[in-house]
Order: sequence, then structure tokens, then C-alpha cells
Amino acid sequence: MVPSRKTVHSSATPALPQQMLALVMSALAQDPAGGWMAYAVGKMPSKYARITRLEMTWTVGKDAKPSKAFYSPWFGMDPDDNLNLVQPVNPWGGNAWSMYTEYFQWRPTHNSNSKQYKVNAGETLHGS
Amino acid sequence: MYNKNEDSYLLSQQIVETGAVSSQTVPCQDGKKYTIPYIVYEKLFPCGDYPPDGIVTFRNITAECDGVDCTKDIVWEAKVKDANCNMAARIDYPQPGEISITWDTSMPSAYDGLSYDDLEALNGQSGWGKSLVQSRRQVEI
Repeated sequence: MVPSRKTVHSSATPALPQQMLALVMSALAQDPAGGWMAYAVGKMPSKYARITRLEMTWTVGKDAKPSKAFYSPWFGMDPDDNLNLVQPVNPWGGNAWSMYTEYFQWRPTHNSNSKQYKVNAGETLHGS
Repeated sequence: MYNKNEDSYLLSQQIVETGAVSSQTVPCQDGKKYTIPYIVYEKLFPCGDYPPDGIVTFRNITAECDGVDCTKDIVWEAKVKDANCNMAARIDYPQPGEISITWDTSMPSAYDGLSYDDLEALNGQSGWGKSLVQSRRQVEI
């Protein structure tokens, strides 16, 4: 996903260079993206060409306090260039959990999501 | 699950208790081969905004490579991209073969001083974060 932008914008800085900088940053962006906190990455033996199936199960977390925060635990996978992320996601949207699958492509940028379902704390999710 | 004939993956997620399934088929761009698995906790907010249980555990992890069970051939490594709230990935925790991500909701965060508008801008640039922010704005309209 697109990295978080922590740039502090200054009114003294011309707009065009900032736009160019954003374009350059976007062109260079890839996973792991800004905003990822802790993560585990797997290394597949080189004797294999590709992962053909990946499955996991987890329990939806306890409800957080209501807020405007949003975040998600998820698992997924990328090709070697880290530009095509497939992921079952489990976002907290500030007052409820949901689940769906997402595809995020960095170049050219493309995003597709499957149907979103509400899911409750303590329920079990199985992704593949 | 990979479909060789279509060079695509069927992505699927199920709520086990209800049977509800959400899925889509994703074609592989330019014949790319998926080789890197990830387990991630994503988006930056103050620590007190995260769930109070402080842990999510991915279990029953299974993988096939070229159609062969390669679950035990994959070597997992714990990393941190953007440190926040002592978020940490833990391999083989709490049980062998399981991977957890843990955090501490009582810690101070570098994001404590930002407004939620700033945090939306920070975290809602694209993907599911962008979709979520857009849907919120539609509701507000």
C-alpha cells in the first residue's frame, strides 16, 4: 500500500517540486509499505517457483474503545518485486470489525476488494 | 489458491461461525509468481486505540508451493517497519507453527499528538485504508 506521508508541508516550498516529489515517491513505493508496524515475512525455498496456496485462521480481536482509528491484522503475499499484494483483511473501522479480501497493485495503481462483512469480536476467520 | 489455467488466485475469507464467505479472483499481473508470504498489523494510531487483548495469533498456517505442502519449508522472520506501541511479530508463539503479533495499549505513541483528521490523512492514502476513509466521508455527506 502507499506509504504514509509524514512530510511536513511548508508554504515556502514551491508546489511543483512537492508534486514531483510525491510522484517520485509513488513510483518508488512498494511493500513493505509505510504504516506496516510489526510483521512476519516468510522465505520460500528457491527450489519452488511460486506459492500455490496459503491458508491461516485467527480469532477476531476484542473491541477497542470507539474512536476514528482504523487498522487491520492481515496475512497475504507478494511476488518478488513486492508490487502486487493479495490479502484477506480484518479492519477495525472505529466501532466495529469487518472482513473482506483485497488486491493492491502498485504499478499501475489498482485496487479491488471483495464484499465486506461485519464480523464480531471472538469470531473465527479463515483466509486463503 | 492458485489456478494454473487462468494464472490467477482465488482469494477467500470465511467467518467460520456463520459460513459467510467473501472472495474474488485476482489475475497475476504479467505472469508474476507469488513467492513472499506476510503476516502484518497495519496503520498507525495511538496505542490506546488498539484492541485491549494486545495479541492476535495466526494459527493453522498451511502453505503449498508448486502444489506441494511446503508449510515447514518456509522460514519466517519477525520485522518492524514503523515502530509503534511495541508492536512485535513473534514466530512459533504461543505454539509451534503459530505466529502472533503483540502490542501494548498502555504505551505512549509518536502519534498521540495528531488529530484524527491528520491520522486519516496519514493512514488513508490507498487500499483498504483509503476505501474506509472514503466510505466515512460518504456517510457524512
